[in-house]
Amino acid sequence: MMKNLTKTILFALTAVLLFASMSQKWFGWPALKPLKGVENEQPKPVLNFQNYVEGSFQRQTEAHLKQHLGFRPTLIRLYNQYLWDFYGKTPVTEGQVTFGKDGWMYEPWVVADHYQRQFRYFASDSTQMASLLTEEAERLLQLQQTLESSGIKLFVCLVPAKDLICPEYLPENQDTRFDNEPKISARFFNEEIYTQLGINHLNLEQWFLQIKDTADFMLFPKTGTHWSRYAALQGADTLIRYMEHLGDINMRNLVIGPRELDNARDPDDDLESLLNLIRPLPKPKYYYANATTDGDTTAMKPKIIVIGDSFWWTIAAQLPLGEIFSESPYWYYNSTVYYDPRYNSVNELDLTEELLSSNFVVLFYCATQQYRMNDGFTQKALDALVSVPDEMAFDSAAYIEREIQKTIARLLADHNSMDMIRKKAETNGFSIEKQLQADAEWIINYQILQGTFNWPTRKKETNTKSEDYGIQ
Amino acid sequence: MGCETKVGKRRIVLVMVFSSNIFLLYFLPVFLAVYFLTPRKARNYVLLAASLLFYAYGAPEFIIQLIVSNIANFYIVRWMHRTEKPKLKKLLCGISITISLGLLFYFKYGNFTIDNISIVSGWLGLENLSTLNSKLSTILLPIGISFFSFQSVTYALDTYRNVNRPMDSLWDYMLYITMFPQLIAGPIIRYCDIADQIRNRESLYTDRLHGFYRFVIGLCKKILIADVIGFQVDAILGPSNYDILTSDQLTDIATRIAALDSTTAWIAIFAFTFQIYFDFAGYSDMAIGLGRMMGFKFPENFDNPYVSTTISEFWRRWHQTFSVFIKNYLYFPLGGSRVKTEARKYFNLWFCFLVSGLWHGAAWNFVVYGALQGIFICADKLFLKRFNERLGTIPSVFFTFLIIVLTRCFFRIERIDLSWLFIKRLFAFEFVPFHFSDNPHFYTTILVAAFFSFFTLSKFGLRVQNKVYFTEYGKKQHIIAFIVSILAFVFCLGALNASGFSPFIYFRF
Repeated sequence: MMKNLTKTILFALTAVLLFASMSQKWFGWPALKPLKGVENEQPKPVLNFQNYVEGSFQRQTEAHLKQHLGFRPTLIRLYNQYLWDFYGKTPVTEGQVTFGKDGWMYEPWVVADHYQRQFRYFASDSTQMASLLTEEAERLLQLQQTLESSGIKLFVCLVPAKDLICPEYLPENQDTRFDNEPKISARFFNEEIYTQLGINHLNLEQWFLQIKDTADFMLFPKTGTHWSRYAALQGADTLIRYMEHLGDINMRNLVIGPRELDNARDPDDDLESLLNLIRPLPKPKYYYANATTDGDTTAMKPKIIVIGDSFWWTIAAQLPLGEIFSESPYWYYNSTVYYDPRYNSVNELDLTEELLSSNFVVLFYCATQQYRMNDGFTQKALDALVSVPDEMAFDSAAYIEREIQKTIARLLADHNSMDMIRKKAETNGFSIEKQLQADAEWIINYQILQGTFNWPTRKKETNTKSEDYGIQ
Repeated sequence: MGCETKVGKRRIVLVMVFSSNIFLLYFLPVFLAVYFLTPRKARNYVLLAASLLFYAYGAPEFIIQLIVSNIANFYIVRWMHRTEKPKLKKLLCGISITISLGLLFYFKYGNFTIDNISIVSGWLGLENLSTLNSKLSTILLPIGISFFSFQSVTYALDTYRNVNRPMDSLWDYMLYITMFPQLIAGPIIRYCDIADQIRNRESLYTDRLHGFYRFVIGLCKKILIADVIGFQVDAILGPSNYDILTSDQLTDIATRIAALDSTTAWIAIFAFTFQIYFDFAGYSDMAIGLGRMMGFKFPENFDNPYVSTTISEFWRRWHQTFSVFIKNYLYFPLGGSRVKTEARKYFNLWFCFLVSGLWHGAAWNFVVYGALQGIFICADKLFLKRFNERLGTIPSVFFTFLIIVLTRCFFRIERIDLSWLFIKRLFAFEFVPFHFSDNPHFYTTILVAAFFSFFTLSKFGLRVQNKVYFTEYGKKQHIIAFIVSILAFVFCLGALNASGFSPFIYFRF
């Protein structure tokens, strides 16, 4: 009797546990710490006869369930911890995080850029990359001059990247596919061409290199991808001084309060957080400080528009922006608008009005993100500010088609992308060619919709050659 | 759950697999709850409804065909049983078998046959025939057809041979054919083995618990071993199932194989040998476990095949229910070993393996695979077995395993020219240094797979296996097994959901 009771209880417990995931999902209890990182949302499919028979409903249901499973964070963290403890990896280390020496972490494209192969994701060879960068620099110069005529200062801030500041922990170069080809690094190329063309720029990366040996704080955290929060404050102070110098104005001075050592605060461990482990990894403590201003009431509070990548978050999250700037909208990757409650997307705003109402426009991208060509901002701003004569009109459909073909060529040259395309083709039931075309079209359409598409420069032809800028 | 996919010239239907979230966390709990809360008399109906839902969800296009062919077979066999006329009996039996095997042939071998006819007719200059393949090129392959077709055959033949009475109820017959635990990948259950259990069975709590433990063992084999190894094997050899690949993908596979060094090639084929065992045996364990939870005693399908000392022994231990089927329904009808000449005996043996090779897939590589197995079986009878006996247990196990590994080349690489190319890479002797640290997870999993594959070579291993699988547990053992099973189940869910979870830090545009 006793024995049967045990079995009955055990079986009842089994049944209850089988329902545990479902009930956690439905009732939200117990509340779980969400997983770190961003993934594409899998929509919940709506059942109809067509998608049921074709199987897309079942496929999408599985994908949706996988993302919205009860106890999902716990299950994933548990397995990741096992993988980490036993094998020193998690699925994220296959594509999003690269390990260097002594447990240091880098983003893979930062490593790729250090070994000068990142340009191959954006161009078929170094000559084409140089040409693209040159065109962008010329657009920048034109935009700088156009804005200058309205009293607005445009400048580029080259934000330090971890690979150059902390190269001693980088892993060895594992990808030697392009070793025999001429190489190019956008950060050095841009620094040189900006100087030659007279484009306003602040190279914080060079400054970081200069202070690296004397600084008594960590410029980059061991398990994060961005500059450390404390280093970002130093960078912000330099940025303000540069603006004062460039605009010949007096701004409020940044006052960095007493610092304290503490465990890593977000985002100083953002790469580590992607591993989604149960236990944190061993790492040093970092300095943190509060930032205020000197409260100088005679100082000017300019309006600044920041177009840039995630490095600005570390500044925006720590600075009393309202005390330093009258307005400081942030156009994240020239796409989403932050710190301006009127807009969500760059596409919603009147670009001319916004630009002409500002005092400073800063292109704030990490040194390894220079290949993005400011996400199409420059061309878009020129289009808005400079009228285009009719005779310069061009065949946009043909241009788009050429860009699609270029994108296909880029994807074909990249093994990782091709692996993904093969998998997608298999899932979608497409041929590789069809999937490749579809992906390339999607990329271009997305860029057009987001306003990041690189439309051709609508101005006179330039004689500048890429070779003039010292490609390696 | 499943869906249909068409990448190359052929479409296949994917189905709900046991190692999916929707099965483990939705279908299974709901089914078990409804099943056990239903009065015993009505449980078969619940199981049948769940089985049809299980199949319809993944393969909606075939559910009608499955039901209609089942109804036809049921009434044909009933008529066959009732008639007293021997000729009509034989005819009806033939019709029933023709329906089952005809559907199997049409769906599974239609393309293969037409492809080959068109190739031959192309050589002969018969243009009309050579264009036929394009008309049949989109035949979908109903999942599980190889298994449920065979079960229909056993039903007709066992009834014809008066081994069992036919089912009184159409619903019971439908249940026998479509029961979801064994619908997709077996075990192939002969009608005579399960007829009584369908009519009357008892599901004790001990069976339910043992069934759950067995299910979790299978899940671990599948998710923690087979899938981990399979991921790397695919990375080395490219995807399998060449029927759905494009010419570009096949070219890519050929390029990969041609570029393989011998070390990687050997690792890949050894790994695949373990992958296929743990995948298939894991699925069988899950099916047997699910069946046991409901009170069914499904036959065992694997008995440590890699500890075999001969190829004959291997086939007695590997996919046992299939071997039994081939023996009873093909080898014996051919005359078995009771034939006039030795040559005919060996031909019968070889032919059975040729057919079994083709059963695994409609492609020439499977024919070669089957033919090779048949040759080794004949060699066993002629001299190999004696040779192995002289070698001693461990060397003969190693030797037999090596033969299995080498013949697996024709199983994994589904084109003969590429299989041959791969074998050449194996024996190119272009070895490179091997580093365990390159992929410790993969290599550790291979070692774990090897350990459990050969564990029962020792008496201790056998004792442990018998204790875990075939002994009734006491109270303490149940508690331990329950805790271990739940932890393993949770761990498998973690593995299932962590794979592919690789988020970005921030959205990038």
